[in-house]
Amino acid sequence: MAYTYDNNNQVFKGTCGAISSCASVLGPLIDLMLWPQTDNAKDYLTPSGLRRRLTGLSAGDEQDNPYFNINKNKVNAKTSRIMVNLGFLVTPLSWGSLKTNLGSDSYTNQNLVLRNPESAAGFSTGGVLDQADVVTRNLDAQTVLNINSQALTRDLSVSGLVGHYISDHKATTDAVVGTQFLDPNFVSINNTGQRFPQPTTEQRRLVSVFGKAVLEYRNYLYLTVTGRNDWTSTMPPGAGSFFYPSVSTSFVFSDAFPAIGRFMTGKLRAAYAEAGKDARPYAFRPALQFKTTSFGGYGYNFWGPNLGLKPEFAKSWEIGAEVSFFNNRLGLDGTVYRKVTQDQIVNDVRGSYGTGFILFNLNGASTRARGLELTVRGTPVVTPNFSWDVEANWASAGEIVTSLPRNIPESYVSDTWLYGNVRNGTAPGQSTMSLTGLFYLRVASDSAGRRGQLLIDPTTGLPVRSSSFIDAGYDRQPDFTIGIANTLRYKRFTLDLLVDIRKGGDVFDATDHFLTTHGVSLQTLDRDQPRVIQGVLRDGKENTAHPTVNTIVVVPSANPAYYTNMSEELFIEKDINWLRLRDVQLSYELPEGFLGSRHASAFIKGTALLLITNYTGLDPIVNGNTAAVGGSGGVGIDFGNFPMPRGVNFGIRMGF
Amino acid sequence: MRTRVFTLLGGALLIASQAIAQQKTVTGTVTSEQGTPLSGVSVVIKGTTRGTSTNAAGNYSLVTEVGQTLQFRFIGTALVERTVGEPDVIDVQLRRAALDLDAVVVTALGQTTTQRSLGYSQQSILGTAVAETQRENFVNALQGRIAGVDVTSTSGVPGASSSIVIRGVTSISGSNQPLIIVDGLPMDNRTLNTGLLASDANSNTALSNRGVDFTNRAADLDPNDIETLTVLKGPEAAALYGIDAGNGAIVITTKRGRAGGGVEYSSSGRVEWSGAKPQLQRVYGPSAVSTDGTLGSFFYFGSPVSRRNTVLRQHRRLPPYRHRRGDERDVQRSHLGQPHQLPTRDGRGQARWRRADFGLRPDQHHGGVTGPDRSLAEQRRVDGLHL
Repeated sequence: MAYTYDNNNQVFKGTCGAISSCASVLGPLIDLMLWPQTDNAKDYLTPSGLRRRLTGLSAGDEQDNPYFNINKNKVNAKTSRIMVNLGFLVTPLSWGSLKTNLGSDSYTNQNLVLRNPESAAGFSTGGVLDQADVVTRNLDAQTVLNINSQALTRDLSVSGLVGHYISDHKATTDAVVGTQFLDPNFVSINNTGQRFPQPTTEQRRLVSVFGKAVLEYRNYLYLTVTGRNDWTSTMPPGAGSFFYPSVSTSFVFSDAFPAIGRFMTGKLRAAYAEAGKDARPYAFRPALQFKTTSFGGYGYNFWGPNLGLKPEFAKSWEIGAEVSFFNNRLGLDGTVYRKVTQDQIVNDVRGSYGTGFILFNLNGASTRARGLELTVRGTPVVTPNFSWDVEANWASAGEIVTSLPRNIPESYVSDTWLYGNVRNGTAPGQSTMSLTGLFYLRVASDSAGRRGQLLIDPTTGLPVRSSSFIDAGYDRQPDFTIGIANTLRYKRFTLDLLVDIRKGGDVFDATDHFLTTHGVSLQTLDRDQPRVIQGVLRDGKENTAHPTVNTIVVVPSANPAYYTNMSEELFIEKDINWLRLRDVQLSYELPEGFLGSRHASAFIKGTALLLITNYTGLDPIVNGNTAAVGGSGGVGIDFGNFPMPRGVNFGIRMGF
Repeated sequence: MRTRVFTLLGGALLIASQAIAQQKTVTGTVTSEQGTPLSGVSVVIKGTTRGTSTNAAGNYSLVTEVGQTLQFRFIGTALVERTVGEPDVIDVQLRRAALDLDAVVVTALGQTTTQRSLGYSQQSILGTAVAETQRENFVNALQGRIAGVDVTSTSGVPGASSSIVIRGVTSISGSNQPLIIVDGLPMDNRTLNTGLLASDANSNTALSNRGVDFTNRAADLDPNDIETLTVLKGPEAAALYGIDAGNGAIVITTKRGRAGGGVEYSSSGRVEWSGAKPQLQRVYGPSAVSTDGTLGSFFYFGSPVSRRNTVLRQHRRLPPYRHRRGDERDVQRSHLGQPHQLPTRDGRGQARWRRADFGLRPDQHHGGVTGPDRSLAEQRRVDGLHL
């Protein structure tokens, strides 16, 4: 049983919604960078205690003072959680054991999000106070009957298990939003002139039966077969039950062939598995929504029903090998895998508004993932005084979309459309991590050897942007990642090092785009320099063999549209690499009996002390949304994000 | 549902476990090749499920019978077996091994099996390695330690959510997060979706998961409580854990009370600062400044600011723009955390207080103040009552 209480105050990050103008944004980091350097930002209030303003713009259009934003806006979450897990193990007979776990994972999560009535974000509605109390109550029960290994013949034995699992996961949210604050500084829902409640309930019940059998031949050949059937409450009647099997095998060839086993240890493994997956609650028959029209009542929300929803299935296989040499001092583990997901349920697909709905949950997407993983472990040195252990993990993966439901041209998660006109859109043939946007139009024909060059507006000399979301090959998926962990011990000292390397993968630096369009980015310093943008004029001849090369001179300081109309495309930084010293720790084992302890050690630890990267923004580890967003989410979209902290810990551990 | 749960419970209690015969208590210390005590080493009587694990001093104590065999297992070391004989003390030294096919591994459903029988790939790390990273959110400790696991923290503030993706994004709109299993049962790792906020129903006030962040709830698990952490990467995890493990599973066993326990104390302080500083141009002034000093907007496409441009200066009594590369106005953080840990006997009942602050350092130039001004973001946490 464990109880946790967590009280978390945060600040806003950057957002400006799905609008290209980005009149005012939330986020103190952006505020800080945009606030005039000549002004003392610390004075964020007037003598009468109101928001101190610098511009003649309306309060909703003027960027907040960073200190005002921090002091007057609020994001707070308080969580009280209790996790209980009761386990019973019964060993009635020699042939097996019965294990039951009963668990309850329950927590209350009280959230308060305040947009002050004077702030840029809250002004138009007279303040926004969100309160949401989420009560989560997850009950689980699982019983497993284990059958110990039974010899079938002298060489062959079988073991296995059967079990069942019941879960009932429920989250009830009491949410209310209040606007039109009466007193701008009194944070209470009683202080709001207009209130709108939104209670929601989410529940999923799941019952499963599963089994596993392991056949073992002479302790070097293993065959494992499993099967599981789930009955879930989130699928339409008749589609809620599905079965999926797996089979895997392991062959310890160094034991099977003792001649090999003399100089190495090794095994080969292969596995094939299927897995079904259900939809989220209320996916097939949407929950009704309270309507604010006269006399109230309930009606449909944005989502349309889909009674034909089916579970999605993933099929995957992997092949791998584990080998070791030099008396287990050097080990290698390699895996190659492939996973194909079919009938994938795509949430929130935009359909025709003529249906009366906006969003639908549809089957029909498919994706394919392939990858390679390698792990090398070694102990190059072991002596009584000194030892060195190293472990390196290398992984490379690629995932593409192979089809979308009803041949829709693009699928995206709208929450990721958080800055300007870039989002995590994807289409068949593209990576699941791709980005689409209102990118620049380019020469499509190769006839003049200018394919890919920008099309230039003949009247302005500036590039022409697409008016619809297009793909331009941007992919946030890295080529490979490497993690190298080292442990060095010398007498009582231990040094641990973890280096994290990433190669490739694009990151969208929306912060810099915002700063450039506002004239504060360093790259606007050469604004007085006349220039000609390389490209061809869009005069009707752009795709012929004789396009007109652009010669129009632009001086950005005289024509700020050079910056303010820049496509976000220029700020998607391609192939971002990094080398990050994630962890360094030096610890010292104190002499026995230190302060009467049985054992004691002191340590000093550095986290993220070093970062070498070709990213020009603050930190390439970013997510423009939160971990709540599905799909590839806002990973690699950097807008107003605070960089990873560097830190040093020092401490002591003792046992008495 | 409830009826069924209690039927199960009743069924489990009805079957009484067998009494234990002739007994003898064996104690000992388990150390590494360097002679340092190893905690969390599993000591099991071969052929049974009875066993214990060593405490922080590497000590164990177990009731056995003469002639039984004790198996000592620890991640990353070779298996050691000792037969119980006359002596009451069995001390063991474990040797590191890059690959040990006889190593016991925790796998789906909390089952333990030997490495040699696994037909799929999984990777384990020790809880101490997770705790030693000093990450508040254990999820952030995994990056770089397990091949194919990608952890992305939303931002650098305390309490930021982190997403974990194992073997890439395969669902284009649904969750790609793995299932987290703690001691056999799932642990909720949800991050609050702003769709639950009532403001999201109105497009004028909707946050749509932008601009705000909430902790992913796996962070409620104290990293110091983790004994071992195993990542099942493929959908083989789903084969036994079911539909929520379609994107893999993270199987965690926690530290439990140990015989011959004691008091463990640890304390640490932390200083944290910003990893990077924004750099801005400070040459060109605002696009439009009216005679009373009011700005037209926060666009900086105006003329270069020189000492002759006195409008702003007089009005604000502050120096004009200079190209200072933004160094005097950066976001600084000062984070002084003091995690204390004081578990009582047998590792039960822990109270811990953790706090992380994140400050905006005021402009030195204007304020002349160097210390953290106000807490920007903080996380306070009490973990207590571990039984």
